[in-house]
Amino acid sequence: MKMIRLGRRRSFGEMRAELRATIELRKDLEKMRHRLERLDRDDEIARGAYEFWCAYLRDRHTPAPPSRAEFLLLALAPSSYAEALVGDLNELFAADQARFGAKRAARLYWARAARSLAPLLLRWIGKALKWAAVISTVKRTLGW
Amino acid sequence: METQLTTLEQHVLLAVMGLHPNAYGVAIQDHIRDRTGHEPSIGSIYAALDRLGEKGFVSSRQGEPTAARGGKRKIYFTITGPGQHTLRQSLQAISSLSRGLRWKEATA
Repeated sequence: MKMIRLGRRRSFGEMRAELRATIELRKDLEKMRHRLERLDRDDEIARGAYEFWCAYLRDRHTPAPPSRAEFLLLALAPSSYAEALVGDLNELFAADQARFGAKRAARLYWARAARSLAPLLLRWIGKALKWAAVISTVKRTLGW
Repeated sequence: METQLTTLEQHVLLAVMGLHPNAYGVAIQDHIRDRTGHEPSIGSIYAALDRLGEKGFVSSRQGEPTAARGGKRKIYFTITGPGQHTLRQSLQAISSLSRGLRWKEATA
């Protein structure tokens, strides 16, 4: 099966190929479901394959959080907790998506990211000013 | 030692104590919102935790990454001894300042 990379603008041919692949996947899924229903005993392989395809289809159709907002946060937040901060926003995004749908969840993600950036920037500027003051004091003391 | 705490730092420390040992960003935000009606942003909570961590008032440990978080790890925070001491002093100062005050009746 041909795997298509997501996250960039796709050509018409690629979209058609992806649609075909999705239809094939759904056919496979149906076949597996029927096979599973007809089995008298638990077939671990069939069950495993069925669950794998279910998870694959679910993941493919789950929208990801806005990558630009994520990038901004990762770039501006201190490295010690940038990952945890983005993870927290992703967790809220997943909850919002279940409640309100993907579009509204993405808007809320951007709003939260914008609200979070202001205190992070202030903290960053505060630290920079503190270091500038220390450096200027050292320079003055040493007479540079 | 620096003993001045901002209101947000007080709220964050109280939330970290209340949620122990499961205090992480979203849980702290929910805890503060449910009890004060004010929702600080996740960024301001982490900025406050960063300041408190620098002062030695909170310690942190990493959790496991989960799929709902896009594979990102949680950071769990715990209040330290000096953190508890400073928080108690700060709350006692407010309590002392507010003792004996006569509040105006709310007018309809």
